[in-house]
Amino acid sequence: MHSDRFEELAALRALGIPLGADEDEFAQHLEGCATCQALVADFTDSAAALSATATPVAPPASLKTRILGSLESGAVSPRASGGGDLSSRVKTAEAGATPQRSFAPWVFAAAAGLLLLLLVTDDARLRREREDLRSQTAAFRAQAGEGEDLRKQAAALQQEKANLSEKLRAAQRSLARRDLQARVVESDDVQLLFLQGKAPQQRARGRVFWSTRAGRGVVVAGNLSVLPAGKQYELWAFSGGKPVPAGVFDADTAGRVLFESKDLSRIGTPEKFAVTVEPRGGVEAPTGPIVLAGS
Amino acid sequence: MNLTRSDDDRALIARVEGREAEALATLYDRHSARLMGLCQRILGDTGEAEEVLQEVFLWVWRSASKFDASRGSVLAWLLVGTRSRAIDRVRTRRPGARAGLRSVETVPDTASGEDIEADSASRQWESQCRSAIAELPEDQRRALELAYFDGLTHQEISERTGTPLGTVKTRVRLGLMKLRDRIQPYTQRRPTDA
Repeated sequence: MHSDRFEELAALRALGIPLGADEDEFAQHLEGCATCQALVADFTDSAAALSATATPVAPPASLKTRILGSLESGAVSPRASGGGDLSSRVKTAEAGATPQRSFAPWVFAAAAGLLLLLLVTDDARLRREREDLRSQTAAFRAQAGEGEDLRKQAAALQQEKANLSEKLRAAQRSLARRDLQARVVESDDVQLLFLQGKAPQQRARGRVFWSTRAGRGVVVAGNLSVLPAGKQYELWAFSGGKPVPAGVFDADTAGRVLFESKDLSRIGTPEKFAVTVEPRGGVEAPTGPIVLAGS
Repeated sequence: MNLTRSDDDRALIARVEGREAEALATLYDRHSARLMGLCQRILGDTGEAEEVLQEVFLWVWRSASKFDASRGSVLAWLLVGTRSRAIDRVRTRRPGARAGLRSVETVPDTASGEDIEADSASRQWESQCRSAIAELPEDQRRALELAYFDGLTHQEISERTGTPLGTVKTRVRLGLMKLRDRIQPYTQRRPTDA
């Protein structure tokens, strides 16, 4: 019984599969082993059986004529369709074939030489065209890649521009507010009014910086309660004994407030200020309890 | 590939070696359909199949003296030469252009070219081969088909099927042994067997 290993190698050899590192060893073994020689032959026949699953196909009658013709003329005719590699086109039948025609050998040699020259020239041209196409394809791909990069960069820049615009608008709003507050607080006509907490927020304290020239006041307050949803603090400026709505605000989580009133230049100098708790968004006349008041 | 046919084939090869074009023509008539079918199965392209077939018969014309009956039958020799040339072409193609491999089940039992291969002994051999292949375990048959028609190495078969390399080798060996045992009664005994 031969070893499984040699049987495997014989099977691979019969199928034309490269044996890799075992190639040399098996070739050497095969030379002196009749059993393995017979095994390779058996397996070759067995492998040939696989071809039986391929449906026989009748080749065109012209192919036989072409093959037999090439034996007679000594050269293989290229296929009418122009396919095939260069070597197969110029392969010649063995020189010992009996010439059937009366042309002198130099005529065949010249024709073969001319054909070879044409094929070599044609082959070189095709190679050049192939290289050109490769170069063009590479250039198109590079351009397409650059275009994609540019599109991505443009999108990123657009997004960055939008972010910067938003930051700029926020900064402008903040600057305008600070400017106004500065004008109010630092105005030479500023008046300071103290606000006292009222039950149930007795601990609340506040101040109103009022500038008649600016027509606005700035409220700074502390110890205010955080109101439930739907409620908001509303500032009232009293003029002629009547409350005028001056804006709504919320306290932060620490109960602090920095708030700038509406433009109240139309009412002149208020007599006093009060803060009430009102529905969110404010009302035209106070309805809720007063939490801060001062004059 | 019965005894008579194989004897005839060897005699034809001897005549081809003696530069008889008529003998080559007879060999062509006898086997070209089968070889063409093999080319088409491997290449999936009629034009390329014709080119390979042309190369094969010119190779036979030039190399008939290299035929060694101790290494297998004439048909096996022709099939090996045809297959190796077709596989070479497949390997030079880009991967996407490769013809798909049909499994045994999709190959019609009744060949459309039956009228071409009218010889009853040949059809008997073909029928025997088909049933022997159909009786192989699926994994062995698959490994053999990938090697024979796709020209894959055992390493490539291992990767394609996700099977350990050693298992692939075993499947190929066992598959061929089973084929040999089932087909041998229909194959020619070589001179060394006698």
